[in-house]
Amino acid sequence: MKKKILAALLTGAMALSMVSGVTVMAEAEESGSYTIGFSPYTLTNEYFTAVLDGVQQACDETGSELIYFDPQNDPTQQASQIDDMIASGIDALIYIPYDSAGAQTVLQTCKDAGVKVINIDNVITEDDYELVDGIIASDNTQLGYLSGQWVAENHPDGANILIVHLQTAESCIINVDGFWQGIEENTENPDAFVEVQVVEGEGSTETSFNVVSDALQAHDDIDVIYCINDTSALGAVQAVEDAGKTGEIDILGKDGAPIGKHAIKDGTMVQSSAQRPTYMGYLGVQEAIAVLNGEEIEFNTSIESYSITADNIDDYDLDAWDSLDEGDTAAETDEADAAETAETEAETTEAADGAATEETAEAADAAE
Amino acid sequence: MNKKSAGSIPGIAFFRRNIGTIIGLILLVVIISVSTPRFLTASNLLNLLRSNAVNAIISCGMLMAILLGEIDISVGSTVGLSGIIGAYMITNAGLPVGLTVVICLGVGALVGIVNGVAISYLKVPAFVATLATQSIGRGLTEIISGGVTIRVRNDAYTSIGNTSVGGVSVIIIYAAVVLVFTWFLLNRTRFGYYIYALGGNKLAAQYSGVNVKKYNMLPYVLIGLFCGLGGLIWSARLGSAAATLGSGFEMDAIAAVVIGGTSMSGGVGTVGGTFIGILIIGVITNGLNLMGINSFWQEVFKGIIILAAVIIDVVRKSRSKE
Repeated sequence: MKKKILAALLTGAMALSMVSGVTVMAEAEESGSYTIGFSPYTLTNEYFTAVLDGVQQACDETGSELIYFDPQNDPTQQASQIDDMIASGIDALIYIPYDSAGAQTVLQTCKDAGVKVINIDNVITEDDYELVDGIIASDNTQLGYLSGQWVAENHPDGANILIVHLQTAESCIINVDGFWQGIEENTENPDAFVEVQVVEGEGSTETSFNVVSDALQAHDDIDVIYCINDTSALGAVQAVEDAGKTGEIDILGKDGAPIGKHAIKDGTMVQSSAQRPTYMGYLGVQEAIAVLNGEEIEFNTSIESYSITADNIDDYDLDAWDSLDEGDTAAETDEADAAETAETEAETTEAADGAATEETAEAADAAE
Repeated sequence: MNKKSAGSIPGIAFFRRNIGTIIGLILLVVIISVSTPRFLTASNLLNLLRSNAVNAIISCGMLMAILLGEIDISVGSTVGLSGIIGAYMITNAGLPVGLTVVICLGVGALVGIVNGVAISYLKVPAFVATLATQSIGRGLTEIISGGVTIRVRNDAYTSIGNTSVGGVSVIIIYAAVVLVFTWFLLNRTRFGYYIYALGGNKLAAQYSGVNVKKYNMLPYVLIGLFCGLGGLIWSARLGSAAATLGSGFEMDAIAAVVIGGTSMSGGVGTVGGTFIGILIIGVITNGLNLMGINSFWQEVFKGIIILAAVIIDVVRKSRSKE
């Protein structure tokens, strides 16, 4: 039974109700139990504690023992903690390397000790791919794409767009590229969508507040503000309110963080593309156990995002990032290259009884 | 000491003392006004002042530290700590607004006391002491917030940052009050006289009977208090506080003070000069944003202007020696 579900999870492509999945797996008896290690950046950040929730849940369900430490954003500390985990006999490691380019020594140590490694969230450099057993990460193109799609659909006549960027983060650059891709592929008239300005919000509320205030002084005609995370979107919301333009400008964020969901509920933000840290952690453990059981897994998995808007906000827990029983488990796999993500189309359908919103996502065609 | 009295009389002496930075500011304003008609509008100038108000408040504190020939790099983290505690107290603990305000300012003052005691009584170098409190403050901010942005729903609290009086944001008024207060303190009180004396020559000040420990400590308490106010303003203004609140604020404050003609070796510098420094930084950021120039260039321009200001200070000093 468990194998069957894992197969469904890992080959992705098809939607599956997580509620029934969880129930079934809780019943499944685990024969040989494993010890799983988990190493994030830090555990004082809600995103990483959400990952831990998923890891913990998967370990509970499979009867595995979990060991984790808090590296406190310090790659050297992270390395020595992983040494300690290996010494205490972990079978597999769920690894979010703080320094993705400097993960090689840690990975080699794991390989020498026979510890299986699933790299999640922050992907290691391609040179080190042979040292890990699987990779799971967010689809940064799709996170931006969903926001772009919302803009194209809700502004059929075009829009003047302000981008609140974090230009030092590669993931955010991919988000913004995905955003424009989302617009271009969902409109008849891509030329009507104009980038008014790109401002640097540094991913922080107060900086975003200041730069958006300046941009609103420079331009009277802004229709849409796309922010690379919900934290900076919060600054944009205040700046727009200050300029007396609340309701005239649509503010979009990214992450589906509790603050973003609350803002969508309040009507100050219109859309946020959800990251799924809990699901990512959960899937990481599932893959690790599959590898330990000698099963084949997809090497490179990107996590399907979903779009949170005023229409479906009531289906989500406002105070959590993501939970395993919301949305679906469609994991899109891409064997070729994580960066070259397949184009996806996500459709939102309201469940008739209003109990759950199912996000059906289908891979359209392979990326060019 | 002469420099101080020259700067303290508003008017001709003020212009003479700050002639370089005033010309620089005017040049910047002219260039940006020519490039974009959006710059010299009432609403943008108010926006500019509001955006730089918290920096002005912190810079007033930083000025005192640098006048002592020292530094305080914990200011940004203290703003964050006070802001997050304010948001936590009002939202999670449900305390009344008045008490929350007192706690915010108290947290800032407490950090200042720790800094002051370490630097003045325990002889820890200012850079090291405030580096340590910066780390402690940022760590506590992370712990209290749990990495989560705390939202504030209390209208009375957010109005502390969102009210405007006759079209002028109340934040600008806070900054004006702090600037005038600091000017008065440095120029019209014994406290200010002693700070300049300590910064000019600590040993000489000690021999002439100044209570060095006390007057080396008190400025840090005031800096902390100003940072507490800064945190209160930001959390009220944004209606939320994140664990990253205040990151990098120390850099803008140091830049404003140094551009304003304050000597890093202490004893020389004025509130007026610092105010011009704040405006220069504000005009660069705002002007380049209006012109749509990438923020990385703003960093480059800021750096060049800081370097120029320090070079002018060094040249001026070597001339006065001759």
